[in-house]
Amino acid sequence: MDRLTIAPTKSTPDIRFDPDSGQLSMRGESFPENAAKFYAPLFAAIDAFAANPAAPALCVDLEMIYLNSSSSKIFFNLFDQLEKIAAAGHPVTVNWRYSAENDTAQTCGEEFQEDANHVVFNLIEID
Amino acid sequence: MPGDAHNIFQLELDLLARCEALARDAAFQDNPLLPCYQELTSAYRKLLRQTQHLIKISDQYQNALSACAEEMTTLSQVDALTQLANRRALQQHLDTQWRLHRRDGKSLAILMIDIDHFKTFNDAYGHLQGDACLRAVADAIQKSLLRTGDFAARYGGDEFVAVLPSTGPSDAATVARRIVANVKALRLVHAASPVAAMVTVSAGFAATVPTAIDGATALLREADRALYRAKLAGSDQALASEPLPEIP
Repeated sequence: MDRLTIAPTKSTPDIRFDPDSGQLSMRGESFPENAAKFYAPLFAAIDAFAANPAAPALCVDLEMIYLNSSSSKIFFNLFDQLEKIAAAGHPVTVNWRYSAENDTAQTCGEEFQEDANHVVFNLIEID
Repeated sequence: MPGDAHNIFQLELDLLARCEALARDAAFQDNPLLPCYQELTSAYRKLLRQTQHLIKISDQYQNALSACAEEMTTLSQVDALTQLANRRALQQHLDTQWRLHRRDGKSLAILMIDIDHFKTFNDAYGHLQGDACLRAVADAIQKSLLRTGDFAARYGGDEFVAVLPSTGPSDAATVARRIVANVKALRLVHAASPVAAMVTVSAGFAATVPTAIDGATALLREADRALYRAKLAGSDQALASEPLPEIP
């Protein structure tokens, strides 16, 4: 399957998704002009990944420094999608990485973690 | 469920409570659409919980951003070395004060203060000592300004400016002389100074009741000319831009 790579900009994160290894990573800040439009390719790629019965376990590494409100809503949608995949029996792990100085990123991860039932959601403090 | 006036989601929670009560109603139990109704209710509950989380996240980001903006404002207004207002803050303050004093017809005074032979001090004792000297002088200037509303700024290099609201020439002279005396009283050794064995400053002052709309810069220039006169007169003193009129 095709890899998805979106180069970072001032207002959007670095996104890398390799469906063959099941590794998805996102790093940076997110306040795109149109959040739904910006993240649409990622949702499509995850859907395609989940539709493949031979797909490996999905590991999502996130290191988000700042999310605007639209992006936060998108992340709730993303975690819903991941919950559905995990509920269907496909292992999904989310690693939410946050810097020790970034209290807001930590709170953000904690809020997301509360809704995770089937997804293994890890909060990881980084230096 | 009793309503909580302090919960911004009380309306939604009340609606949910009604929906769930309806699903428990005996009259609804045989309805084939009940499972569908319950599914929609629980989907609504989940979305509501997400919205609550979302608002909490957004609020926290907004608080962090506004704290950050506040810090940026401080950083953009304060001189890092002396912690006095910087030149940008001085300009803003001076413009505001000029307008206020013009409106009220009151006298505004400006003091310009410069360390005597500071370059020689730096050459003799090094830049770290030079920085310590600037901090000590800034502190002495600040402590010489006794009224609330008096404002001190680092103008640049070893030059400082004080803005004194509702102040005429004679009170400005008093404050300027106090600054000169208080800096000397620090007794910071300056062996290479031709003026005294310790660090001294010269001060020039000017006061006027503003008339022109944008005369603040002219008043600053006048204080600067006065400072020049004080330097020419031998430093370690405070002088007005022009000799004060003699009282008969």
